[in-house]
Amino acid sequence: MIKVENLVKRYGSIVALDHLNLEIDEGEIFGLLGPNGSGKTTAISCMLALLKYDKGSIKIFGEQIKPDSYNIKRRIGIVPQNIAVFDELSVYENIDYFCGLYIKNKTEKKKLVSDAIEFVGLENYTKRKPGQLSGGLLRRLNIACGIVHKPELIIMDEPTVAVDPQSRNKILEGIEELNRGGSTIIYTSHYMEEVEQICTKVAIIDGGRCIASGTNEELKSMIKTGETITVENIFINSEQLTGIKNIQHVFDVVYKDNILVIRCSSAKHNLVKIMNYMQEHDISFGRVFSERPTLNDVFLEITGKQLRD
Amino acid sequence: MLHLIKYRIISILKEKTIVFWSMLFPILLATMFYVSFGSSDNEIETIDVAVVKTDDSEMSKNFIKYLEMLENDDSKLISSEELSKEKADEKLEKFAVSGIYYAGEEIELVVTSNDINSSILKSLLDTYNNQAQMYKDIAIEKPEKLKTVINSDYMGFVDETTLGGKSVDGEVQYFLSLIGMACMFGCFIGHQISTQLQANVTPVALRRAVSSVSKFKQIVSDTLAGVIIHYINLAILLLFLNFVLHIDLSGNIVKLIGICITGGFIGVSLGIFVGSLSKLKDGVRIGLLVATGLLSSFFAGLMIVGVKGLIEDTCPILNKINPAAVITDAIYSVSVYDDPERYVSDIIILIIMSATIGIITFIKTRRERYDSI
Repeated sequence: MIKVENLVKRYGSIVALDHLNLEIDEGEIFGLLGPNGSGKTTAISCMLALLKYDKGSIKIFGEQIKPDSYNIKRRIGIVPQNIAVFDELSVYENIDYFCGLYIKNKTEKKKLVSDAIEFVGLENYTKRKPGQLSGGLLRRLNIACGIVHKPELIIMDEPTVAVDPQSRNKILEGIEELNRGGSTIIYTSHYMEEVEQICTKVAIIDGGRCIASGTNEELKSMIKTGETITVENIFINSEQLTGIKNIQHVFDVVYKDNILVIRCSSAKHNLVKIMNYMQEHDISFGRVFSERPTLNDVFLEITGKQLRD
Repeated sequence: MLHLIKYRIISILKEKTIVFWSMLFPILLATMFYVSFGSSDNEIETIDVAVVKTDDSEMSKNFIKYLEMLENDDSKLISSEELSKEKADEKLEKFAVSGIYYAGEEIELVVTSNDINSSILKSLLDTYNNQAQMYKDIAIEKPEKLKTVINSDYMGFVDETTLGGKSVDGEVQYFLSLIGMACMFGCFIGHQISTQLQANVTPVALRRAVSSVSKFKQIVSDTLAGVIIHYINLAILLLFLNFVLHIDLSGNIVKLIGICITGGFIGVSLGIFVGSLSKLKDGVRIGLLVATGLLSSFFAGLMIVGVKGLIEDTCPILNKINPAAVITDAIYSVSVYDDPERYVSDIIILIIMSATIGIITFIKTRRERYDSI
């Protein structure tokens, strides 16, 4: 459905996109994951023919996209990172206006507007102005304006920024529902939990380059970390720390502020072995928990930095 | 298209700043003019004119008598001085007089500029010639009525109405100029519109830019919405001047409405054009807009009467490409000169200017991709 090849975009001497390659298939919820400034929004803007780029090609629905590719644009819905609604119009008027950019038939438009309002749960706020809505409701309005014409491809650029947990869950559930309804979704975020939760395929972007892509499982299988064990309120000396490092399958140990984080490669009984060692050496400790690798671990291992750095 | 226009009208009308500058400010200014003129002595500026007698014919004597009558009238419309040709030319060159009447068998008028004084002098001459012709006709066709006509106070109307029956009241000219300035204030509406047309300026514009509505349709619908709003603003101003301040607009409301529509069109399209110079920062664009509005208004004489005449003498093309000057000229052609040809030509110039600006804006923005967003 979308093919981005060798996309290069420079802002003066800064390379925002460095030979970016992406391939998005129909029916996917495709996550573009990367820290702030990694090039996610720039990539989206290029895909929408808003930004000039220096090199590469972007094909959507099999055609090269240009500013006047109205037939392609008709099939796309956009939920920008910044709230893109008229402050002077009410919730209903805003959704009706943006629906009218795509749909001419009045009856059809009315139904679509009503569906979109119901979909985002703004039935009780239709007469309110955007300024009278909370951050979460405003985000929902932003989404409603982008999806009201039931597009085949929906591009959502960080739609949950500054949103309360309740609205965030509602938004994420909504995205999955839209996908079930037949829309392909591109979802950019720097919240790896969200991407992990809803995306069927993920591309991790850093420094304008796609450093890894695949399903969640595929990405996690690319890295060495199989399990991360965290021990809280632990007091150990350097000799004991070396001892833990020498346990089989342990490849990285960080001890800071009485918290011990141990990374192990995929193997059975890692936790048991560590617990045994602490018991044998009479080491006192608090809570202990083990985690499967996350996309943050993937990012950390590939780039050497945290996703939210 | 109607859908787009409807919502753009609603959104613009709810912008308080726009409503203030494009509608309330001209009304406030008009009220201030009205209040300040209320305490003035309401005198009309007297026009200095030289008279060169080329022969001693009856026609020449009668014309000089006619000028003396005007001079002695309470309105003090003109002040004439009989001079030699050389002296008169010298005074005209130095702008010490607004024109020279050559009084002989044929009365001729020489002026150097195209300002209101020249127009008044021409009108006085036309009036005289018309009256003289009327006496000749009466003397031939109904000689018995000639005495009655001569004894009537036919000159009286000259004091009240000069140009084709139009008022030359200086105060009214200020209000007419104000209408011209208000037309130019449409650029603020245009600027607001432009912010919703450029994806690198507002998120709403970004959403519109990625929609399936063509840029052409967006520009046309937004411009029409702006022109409709500004036309309403100007109509309210006209009604306010006419019915609240009781300013005599010389019964030319219909023609003034024509000017308001085209003037509003040029104001709005100019605002959209300046606003679409996306490489400039917003503050710079607003500054440019204010400067353009003020400068064009200044050169059109909306602030100091006489500037436009001076430009007409030194660089007349400027008056033809300056939208405020063309608006002012159109207003004067209706309310002062009563010159339908000039009115039509001014309206055509305004339409061509607006369309040209609109086309340039469209060409500039239609396939625009931005360096950054």
